[in-house]
Amino acid sequence: MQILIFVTHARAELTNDYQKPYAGFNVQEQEVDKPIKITIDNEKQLLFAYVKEFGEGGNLTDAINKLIGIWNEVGNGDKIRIFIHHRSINDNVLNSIKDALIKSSIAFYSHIDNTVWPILTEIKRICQGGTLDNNNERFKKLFDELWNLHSAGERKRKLSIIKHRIMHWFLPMDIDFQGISELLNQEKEDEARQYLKDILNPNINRNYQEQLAALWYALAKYQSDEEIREESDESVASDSQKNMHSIDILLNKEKAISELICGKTEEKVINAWKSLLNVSGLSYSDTDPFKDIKHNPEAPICKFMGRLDSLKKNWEPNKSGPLDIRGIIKISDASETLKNLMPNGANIIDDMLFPDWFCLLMKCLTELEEALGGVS
Amino acid sequence: MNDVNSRVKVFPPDQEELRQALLRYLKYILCTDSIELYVVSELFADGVSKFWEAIIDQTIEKIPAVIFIKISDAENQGAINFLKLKLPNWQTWDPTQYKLKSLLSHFKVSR
Repeated sequence: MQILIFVTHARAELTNDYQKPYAGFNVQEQEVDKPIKITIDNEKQLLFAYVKEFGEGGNLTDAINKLIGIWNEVGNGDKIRIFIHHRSINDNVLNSIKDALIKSSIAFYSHIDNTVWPILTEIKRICQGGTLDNNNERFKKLFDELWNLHSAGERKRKLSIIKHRIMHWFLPMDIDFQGISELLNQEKEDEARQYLKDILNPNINRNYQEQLAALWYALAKYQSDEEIREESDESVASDSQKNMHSIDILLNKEKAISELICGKTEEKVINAWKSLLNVSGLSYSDTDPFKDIKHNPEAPICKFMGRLDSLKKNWEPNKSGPLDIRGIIKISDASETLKNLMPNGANIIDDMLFPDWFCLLMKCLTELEEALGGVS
Repeated sequence: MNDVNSRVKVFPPDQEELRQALLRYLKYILCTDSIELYVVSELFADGVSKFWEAIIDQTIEKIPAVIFIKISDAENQGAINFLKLKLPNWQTWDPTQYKLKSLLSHFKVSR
């Protein structure tokens, strides 16, 4: 049986009638603490409960305990989904729940959203007093809409977490190259060279191509042949290499973005996914952007990261002679190459530098997140 | 150029690479020898409790400038409101919207 649990801190969601601005089930005051249960054909059950502790001044631990109590009461299983009426504390709620299954079953709604709230209001309309008014088919349809919205919300939330990790993964590099480009804007080339030397110092435990490889793994669990060979021959890898070579660092054994969105056919999602792959230096099948994913050594970002690793490896601190600093930090041919690759004709600037690429990567992730729709 | 003796702390504290990148940026761009700055990238992650203890207990005599990296206003409004009361000098930073230089130009940084 599919079970949708709604938990609200708002008493009015039970006591108001559905026509009032804060639509409710119109149940009697004395019935408020008793959850509403509506079951159809032993297939679908909606359970609506008032947990005042989720509200202002409430004890979150008590609220979570009540939620777990409701969960246990309806029975454990992967066909239970929870909506919580939030008041801007989503992270607190999720951080307070230790059970992974319960945590992954939670989505949030509010009276100001235009996704869950209108459907829930319609359910309240046909369930005034807490009982269904014989409109079984209508109820089933609304129930399914809520069920699907919840799935989309779960995908969106997981994508949002990966996006957050990707941002933090590249942020130190973004700051470094913002600094160098700032010095070059001020025509301070000598200081910019010294800055680059500091970054490429062999004592700094940063491997640029491996940073990109971690991104590829987060996007599509793609590993290049070289990485697979290295993993299978760990005996020759130094400790520092092993530490750096944690390709799963962004996913932490969770689903890759390709796994979250695979099966989606909406044009917006597909276009955003293709843009993301292009910007990240990955190619894909002409007929299916989820197949034949592999890295493209000619992609601007691949060449840029390879150039930095090569410079780092072959750096000779005492070597005299000019270093083409502007050439090194430019993501070469980015303008034309990326313009051709971006399906939506994104605004690609000439002379793209790493901070510009970083912003473009984040823009692609945001577009994909928005294209998924659903609740958060 | 002088070496920098910056007092930059990051929360959670396991982001040494971020700290080092900030130190390099301050050294080359701000060219100052002593800066006190806290950088918070997660409000409620493990390892951020020391930051909260310092704020709540006022155990730091002078609360330094604080950067919150990409903290979502919508989901953390309660915490943000609390911080507004306690912190005199802080900014949120969305790295995809603003350059670090632009952010720092709005800051009163202790030197």
